[in-house]
Amino acid sequence: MTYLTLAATQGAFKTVTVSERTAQAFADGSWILALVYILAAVGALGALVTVVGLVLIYAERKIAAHFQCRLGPMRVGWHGILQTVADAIKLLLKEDVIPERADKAMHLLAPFLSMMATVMILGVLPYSPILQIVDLNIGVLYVTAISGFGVMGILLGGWSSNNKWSMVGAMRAGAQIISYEISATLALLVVVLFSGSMSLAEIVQSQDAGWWVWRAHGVGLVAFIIFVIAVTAEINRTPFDIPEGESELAAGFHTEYSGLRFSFFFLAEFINMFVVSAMAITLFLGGWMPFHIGTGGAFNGAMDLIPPVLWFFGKTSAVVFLIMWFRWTFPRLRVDQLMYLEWKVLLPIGFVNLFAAAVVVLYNLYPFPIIVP
Amino acid sequence: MIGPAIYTVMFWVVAASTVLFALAVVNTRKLLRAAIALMAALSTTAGFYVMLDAQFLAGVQVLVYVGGIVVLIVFAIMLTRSGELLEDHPTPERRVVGAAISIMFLILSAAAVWVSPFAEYSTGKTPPNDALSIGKALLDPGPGGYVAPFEVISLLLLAAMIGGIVIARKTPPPNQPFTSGGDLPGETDVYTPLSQRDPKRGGPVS
Amino acid sequence: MNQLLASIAAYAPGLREWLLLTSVIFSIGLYGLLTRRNAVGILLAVELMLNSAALNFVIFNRFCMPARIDGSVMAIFVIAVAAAEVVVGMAIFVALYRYRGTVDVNRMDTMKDPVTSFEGPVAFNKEVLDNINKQYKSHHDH
Repeated sequence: MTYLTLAATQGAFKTVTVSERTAQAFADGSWILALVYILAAVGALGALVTVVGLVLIYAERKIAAHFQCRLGPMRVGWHGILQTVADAIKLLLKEDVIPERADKAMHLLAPFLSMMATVMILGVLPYSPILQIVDLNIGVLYVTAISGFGVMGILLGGWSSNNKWSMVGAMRAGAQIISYEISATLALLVVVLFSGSMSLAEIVQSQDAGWWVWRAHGVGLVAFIIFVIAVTAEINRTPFDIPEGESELAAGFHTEYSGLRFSFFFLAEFINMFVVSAMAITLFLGGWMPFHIGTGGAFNGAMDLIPPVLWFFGKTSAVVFLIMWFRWTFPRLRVDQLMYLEWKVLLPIGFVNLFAAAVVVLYNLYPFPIIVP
Repeated sequence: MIGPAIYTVMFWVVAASTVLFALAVVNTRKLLRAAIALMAALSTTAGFYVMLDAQFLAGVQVLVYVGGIVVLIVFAIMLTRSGELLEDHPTPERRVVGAAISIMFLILSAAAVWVSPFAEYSTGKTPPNDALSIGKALLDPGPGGYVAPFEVISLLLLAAMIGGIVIARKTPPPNQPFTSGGDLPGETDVYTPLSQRDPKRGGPVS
Repeated sequence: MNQLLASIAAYAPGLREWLLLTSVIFSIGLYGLLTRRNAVGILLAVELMLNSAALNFVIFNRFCMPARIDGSVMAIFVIAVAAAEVVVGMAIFVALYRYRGTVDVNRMDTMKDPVTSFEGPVAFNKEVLDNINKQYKSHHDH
């Protein structure tokens, strides 16, 4: 018995999203309750962006430092825990420079476009059965589609800065992101095939009997590996940080940004890391589902006692740590190696994998029951 | 009661913004800004699809148009980096003639829309799982199915992809080995005919 | 409150309002098609027109045949065709720009009388071309 069924039998929780509650409140005619729900959702999103940003930036510094046998930030607060806050205040107080002859309107718009794409994805992630702002029945498609706005933000930022480093960085980022998006989408489709749904909540619930990463006959494992590689490239992390390789391009597309708008780009990058990790665990590692071995038993019961939200954020942190680990393990790829990896390695494997998944699903070569809630 | 009211307000607001973005697409002098306005217009169209109960189509619209087509257009604008590509000056005559023709078309089509009787059915709804039914219709070989057009479209996309690669590849035009294509002379070894290239370096045989 | 909401809902769009909207978008696209001289600008206008046509399919589907999804399928085809069109169009424009130094459609006139079109693009100017070829040779001679 999983947490979900346990909760359902005890009547503690119902899988219901915030948008459903709001609609219900509207239907009941209680405007104030609906308003409270909407405000709570907006406030939660804002808090999530802030907290995740601060925590991830601190984690990145500390993890990087310990990988290199350093201590990292130690001065501001206990073990430098307030360092990010201090940096955020510094960034907010800095002068906001717009380069001469830059396309001002576009220069202002670009960071907001990047940030908007990220926040719009945060709204559909299932954090727990009761903590999801809206569950779209095209959830996976939505996430893939919205990330297009992020690419536009980067391209615009690079173009409008009127700086050749920015421009080259933006072009590289654009080419890289739209290339690796194909592989990421092919890996997503494997899970969509298995779970028979594009809604993120339903995909999580379809993993009730086991997570897709190992319940899908090896196909899921291959898809998971492809997905992690592809999204690491999509968020421009090392070893795929060619768009902002500091030894070649200053800082890439955000070279000319400073102050608040730089912090928007910076924050969007870190939140993107959270978003892609959350997507990876939602699709392949069971989302908020607890870890189970077999069915029943004391171990599973103990696992069920941990609330789903902790499972979600715990798994996400594990994948985030993996992505940060990549940074101190692999050297940066060259542009030609990057394109080689995508078009000649990942893409063929992805297609074959998708085909294999289709065969598995179509001919039911599959020992576990597929749960369609 | 709140549902229809929100729907109505949203329709008129989104419609007005779409028209404004569309006007920006055709009137902005900087092409990159026009492309951004096009992105906005296409995104609001995705909103229209949601209002018409076609959520899957809205997703496809944003995925293909914003994530693909507009990015491609912006890329092309950046690649052909010239002042001329940024600025577009229509002459007054063109403006007047264009406006006259398009307004005439608008009047004609509006009149046609207003006078023709449409067989409207408000009963019944779009099948609930849009993606599922669209997928089934696309692969349905029977009458009313779309498997043949689907295959033709996939062939078209393949042909377009190959055509795009072949056309945009950096090979010289037959009678014109060197052009002022925007690259410096030091970078122009890509214009060397394929047969004369050093297979290792890619540049001309030295 | 309910009265206010009802009076707002009275302006709910019907089939004709939707079709009028797509006509307006199509006309704007037509205006862009006729006034732009830059090939990329023309392509943007064409995208706008294609988009309104796809929207029309879905509108008719929704209002005249709500039990079927043919309109959505046609809209997907329109989107696919638009994607194919942009890929080929952009490839042509990049190639044209490289060979001719311009994407102004008024200058795509080499099939015309050569005397009248001589003043046009930079790359066809004999002096400029010779100069570039000279530079190229001097660069690669050593």
